[in-house]
Amino acid sequence: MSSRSRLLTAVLMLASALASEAGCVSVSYQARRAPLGDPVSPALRIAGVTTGERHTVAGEDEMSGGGWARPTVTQSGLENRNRSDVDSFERTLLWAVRAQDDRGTEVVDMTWSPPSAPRCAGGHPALDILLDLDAPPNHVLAPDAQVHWERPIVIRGARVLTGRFDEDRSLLGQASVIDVRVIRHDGQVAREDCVRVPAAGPDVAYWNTKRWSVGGRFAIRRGLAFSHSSVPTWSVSIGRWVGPIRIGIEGTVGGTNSPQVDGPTGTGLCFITPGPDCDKIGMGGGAIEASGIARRWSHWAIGWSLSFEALVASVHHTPPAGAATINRWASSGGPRLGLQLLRVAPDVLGASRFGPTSAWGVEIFGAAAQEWTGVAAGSPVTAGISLLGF
Amino acid sequence: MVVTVRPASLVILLASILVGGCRIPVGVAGRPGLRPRCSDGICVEAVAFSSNRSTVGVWIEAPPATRLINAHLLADAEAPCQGHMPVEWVTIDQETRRKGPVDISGAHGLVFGFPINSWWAHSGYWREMFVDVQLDVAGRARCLRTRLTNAAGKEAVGL
Repeated sequence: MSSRSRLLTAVLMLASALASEAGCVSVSYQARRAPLGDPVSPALRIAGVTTGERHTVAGEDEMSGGGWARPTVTQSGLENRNRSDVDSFERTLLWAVRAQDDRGTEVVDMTWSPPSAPRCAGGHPALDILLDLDAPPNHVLAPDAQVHWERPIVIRGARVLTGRFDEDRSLLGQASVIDVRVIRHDGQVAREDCVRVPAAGPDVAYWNTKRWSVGGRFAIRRGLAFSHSSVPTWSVSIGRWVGPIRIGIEGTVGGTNSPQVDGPTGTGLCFITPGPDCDKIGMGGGAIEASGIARRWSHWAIGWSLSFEALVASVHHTPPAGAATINRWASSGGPRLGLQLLRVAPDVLGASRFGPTSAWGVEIFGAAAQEWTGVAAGSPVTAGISLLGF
Repeated sequence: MVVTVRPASLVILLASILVGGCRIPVGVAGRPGLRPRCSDGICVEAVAFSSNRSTVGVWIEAPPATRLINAHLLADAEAPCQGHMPVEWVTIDQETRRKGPVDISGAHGLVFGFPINSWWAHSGYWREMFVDVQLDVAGRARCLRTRLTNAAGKEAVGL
């Protein structure tokens, strides 16, 4: 493999990793089953959760010339304290609570805690509370949910109340509750109450709302329909989750260098050091792929993929005994079936194990292909191994 | 910050860049007392603002029993204290508060943190920018508006 190919491999593998990591930055889950809180009035239930939200640290701001600082105003004017070149972000998560109350409720605070914590008195207090807009935003650039700095927050009718909390990965994997401290008004009497809303546990089910994903793949194939030479390929894909299945299209390029007379014999190492038995191949193609998660644990999963791929290649074959090189074009198409061992983005407790996700790992695949044009000089059934991410 | 990027926003952004072009950031950084605006015993003065930052620094002198209820960044003269960018945090002197109301009786330096910067002000998208400070003064609601930029998109603090 030339230094150029190695560089390309590194870049594409990095791109695959980044594509996977991008999915870990922020993941949103929608509650598909969630019980009402206790007490049942006002009617509060979990609507969803977003993990891995990066949020600017309160009190800090990005400087015009780069870096971060904590601005304050004194009688001398603006002072930027604690200057730092380190990006000032905190990782938080957002618990969204759907509220239905026609009489009007004032929300004072929210707390995220394990069920064993005393009501409204344990766990993580909300850093911020956001409220969806009760009308179309008065500006196209306005956020759809806005932080309500002032308390209490008055909710009336059907609203979505969102609390921003410190990201506690440990608690995210356990049963937990959101406590909402409210004030109810009965005539002239104001009564404070704490509504406990199940957030994660046996009665709450979530579905990852991820729709689109970008993926990458580096593969080594044992052979092709039109050549016995082993070939490295690089692919990028874009897919959309339809229920538990990712439907994607994939573009692929690959090839081998010119054979070296003093290289190793056989065709197994053509993708690294082409020997005299190898063909020089330049190829490209595409595939339509369906994939999904067959079985999932907390951080690992078994995935599957089924695709139909079409390849076009320029093949330069050098016969033995120094005969002239034969150049030809070939194309082939056929199904490809893969089995994947994946490292998956951690989920919130109660998330469907078959739902959309971000993952990266290794795939062993088999491909059957029929040569459409050219001379069938390869293997109709081949296999390979991939490093992939999506 | 939860910002849903909507296609309309992107179209407007691209159109504004194409039509108006990107402009040099505008802003001020001064000392309190240069451009105070006083009304009924309350003086509010924007002392620090830059269109490519998400904070606005304000000096305020308020009578006893004054509470800060909220603040909004707004464009193009929206309704009082109903601007589309409500404050997310406030640093009062040196203490950052993520929820209010907070007593601000007397003289204080405030820094308001908003969901996004007013970069749009110098992209050509927004021109006139204001900050509204919502107060409760001894039980009476007040909304004090301070201009940041004028209709030409230039600094016009307090004018």
